[in-house]
Amino acid sequence: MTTLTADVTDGVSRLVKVLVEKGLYKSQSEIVRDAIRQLALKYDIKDVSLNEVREITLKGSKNSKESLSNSVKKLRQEI
Amino acid sequence: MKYIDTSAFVKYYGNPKFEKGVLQMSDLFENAKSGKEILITSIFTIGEIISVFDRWVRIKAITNEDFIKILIRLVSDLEELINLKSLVVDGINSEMVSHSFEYIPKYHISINDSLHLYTALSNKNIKEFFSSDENLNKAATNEGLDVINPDH
Repeated sequence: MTTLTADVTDGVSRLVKVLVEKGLYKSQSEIVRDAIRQLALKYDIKDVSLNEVREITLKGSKNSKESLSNSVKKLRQEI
Repeated sequence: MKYIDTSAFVKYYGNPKFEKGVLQMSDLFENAKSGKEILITSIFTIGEIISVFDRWVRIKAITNEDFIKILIRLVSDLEELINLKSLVVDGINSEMVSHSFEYIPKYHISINDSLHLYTALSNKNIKEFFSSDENLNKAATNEGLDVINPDH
């Protein structure tokens, strides 16, 4: 299992609490896993190959004019 | 064990047509997937990777759908490597954060860099430190780590 941390609005936080309290989900983590699965279904994404990701990052690098490692450096400079 | 900082980790997803060091990182990850290597990183790395691609969405370099595809692949790779016990994702606590502060003025690096450095230094089993961030690499070398820059 991997732990992801996310910032959410108060409204989303309340909704998550209600969904668990109503017994629709066992935990907050189960809601997040289901939400990601729903997103995958929405975008018709079943499995993503490494080559597909690398085509996306090639497009991203060309559009941003940054390599991925340079993007990390820029991100750190923004902090 | 080999510590992988974010600037090196993301290269696994880079395209060799644009990114240096992709083949070296691919070899490393494939070796980990076949049980020949054990990699270690910080939970912070995962946050930074997500932030890098989120930034690309923000500057319209990729679409939201592209972002979700990358996220799905990232989670899938993390699950695979963690289940194989080929990747250790070190957590962060307030003690680690406060100990890492000393590296900020010492090397004029960001809190992100100092957290990577502290995480690597606090694990005695780390033999090599992979990063393409020159500032971080200078600090890591000075602290006695064997640094490998996949850009070179």
